[in-house]
Amino acid sequence: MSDPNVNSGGSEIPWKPPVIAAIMGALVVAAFVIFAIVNGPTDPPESDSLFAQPVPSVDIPPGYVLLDPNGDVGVKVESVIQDSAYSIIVVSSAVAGTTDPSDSLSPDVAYWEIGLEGARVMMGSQFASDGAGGITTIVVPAEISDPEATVVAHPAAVLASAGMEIEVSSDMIGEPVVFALEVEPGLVISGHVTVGDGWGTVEWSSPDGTVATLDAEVTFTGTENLAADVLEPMRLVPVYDPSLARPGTVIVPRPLFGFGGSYGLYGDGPSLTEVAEVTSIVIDLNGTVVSETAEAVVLNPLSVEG
Amino acid sequence: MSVRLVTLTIVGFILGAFAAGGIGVSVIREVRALDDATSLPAQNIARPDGYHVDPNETLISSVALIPISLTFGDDGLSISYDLTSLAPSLGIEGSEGGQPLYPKRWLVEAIGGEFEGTQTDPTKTEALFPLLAGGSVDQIDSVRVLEAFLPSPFEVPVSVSASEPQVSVITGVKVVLARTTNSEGMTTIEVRVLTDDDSARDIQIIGDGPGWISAVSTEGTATLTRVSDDGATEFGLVVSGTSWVAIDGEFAVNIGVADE
Repeated sequence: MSDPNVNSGGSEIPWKPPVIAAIMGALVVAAFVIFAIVNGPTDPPESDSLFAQPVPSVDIPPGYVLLDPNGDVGVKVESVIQDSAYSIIVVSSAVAGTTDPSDSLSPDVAYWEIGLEGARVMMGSQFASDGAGGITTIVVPAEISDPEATVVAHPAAVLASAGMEIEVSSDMIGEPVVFALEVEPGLVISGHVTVGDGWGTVEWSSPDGTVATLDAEVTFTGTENLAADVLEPMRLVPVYDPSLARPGTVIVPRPLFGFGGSYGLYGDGPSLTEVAEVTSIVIDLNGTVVSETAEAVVLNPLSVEG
Repeated sequence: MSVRLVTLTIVGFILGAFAAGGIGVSVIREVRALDDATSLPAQNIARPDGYHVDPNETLISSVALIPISLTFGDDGLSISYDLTSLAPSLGIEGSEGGQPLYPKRWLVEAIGGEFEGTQTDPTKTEALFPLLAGGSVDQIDSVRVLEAFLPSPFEVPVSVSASEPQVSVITGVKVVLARTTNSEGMTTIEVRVLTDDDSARDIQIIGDGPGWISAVSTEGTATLTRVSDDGATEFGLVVSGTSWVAIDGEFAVNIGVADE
């Protein structure tokens, strides 16, 4: 009987231990392979991934410019619409994809300018609407034909707010009531409020170069219980006041900071039909003055739409 | 045991380990590739920690367009999507006024050519491709939005009169003085709003100047009353609302996140 460790060809090499060792080696590595498959990779594959892995970034979206270097809101000119007498500039705002927008305030811009070669054109007004979140519409009382024109934003912060109450007799219905609201020593918002039978108008202006807002509200005392089931006196509020927005009604743009303005006042309840019931008219005014907080920010050149 | 036998045993062990290792690496690669492919939707739908909008999602202006599903039916392909805005919204309430973006014209590149799609109603979030009936997502090479609009508030003063009853407010929006009634110190006018199908929404008309009391808007018609007996025949109005403003560019849509 031949030795099993010696092949039949007469070689003296003992084959059995090397073969068993090879099998053992394969089994050990196979165990590692099975372990690796069951537990999965510890790091995501780099070159084999079908989609790029998100790279964490705190940057605002491309094309947006931070209004405040330390802030989190960027702005971008989206469109410029040219009319014969004025231009409308549409600006959007955005936070970074890592930021929850409901944690960020809409940016305050004191005023906007159009930068032309050697000159700047001041805005006429700016307004926004809750129905168009993050969008600011700027009206410039000039035609902009220069394709290299830029939009310049002047970031703002509230400097001071103040309120006042004016009470006049019902004899003043239809007559302008002049006011001067001192918000800060030396800073006076002035204008007049005219109140009629169920209507009102407000016109105001701020001191030279000062940017402000002014809200007005009118109460007709003596009109409590005038209408059935209505215990409150009749009131007039600005057309953009949320109290006028009933279910199914429209969202009216609200003016933002400006150098002055005019708007109508409307009733938030039944029409006032008996002015004889009015004992006095109370006008509540609330003004806010803002100041520039940071360097002016220059946005991209305009692409004017016809 | 001879030195030769020990050497051969060690060599055998190494050869066996290498052979098994080679096969094992191939198996691991295949398993990992299969794992990536099948787990893509879950990985992409669930946004990474700390993200409100995933970098993989399509950003048009400040609004992320996120495909939800692609459905092939007899009427063509339908892509439904969500819109998530990055516009700051702290303190803003009652913003149920409408969608933050109107992606109106689309294009699908697929086997067989290019297919245009439209989204005809700004209040909906579904694009339709009627010429792309039958098929599967595998046949789609790319999806793009060709034309998109942002909502923009507008407020325009206009003047209407009996001699010039119709005026243009903004592109696609006109107002027409339809009727004037004078009675006992009150002037009531009826103004109709004419709009292209999807040019604007939330349109309101108010009187400009003293004497105007609340406007009543009903299905495109506003009835305004002015307390005055001055016999005016020309009326100043302020027309406001939200118009759709076109934004520049075409935008590639990542459909990797959508369900078929």
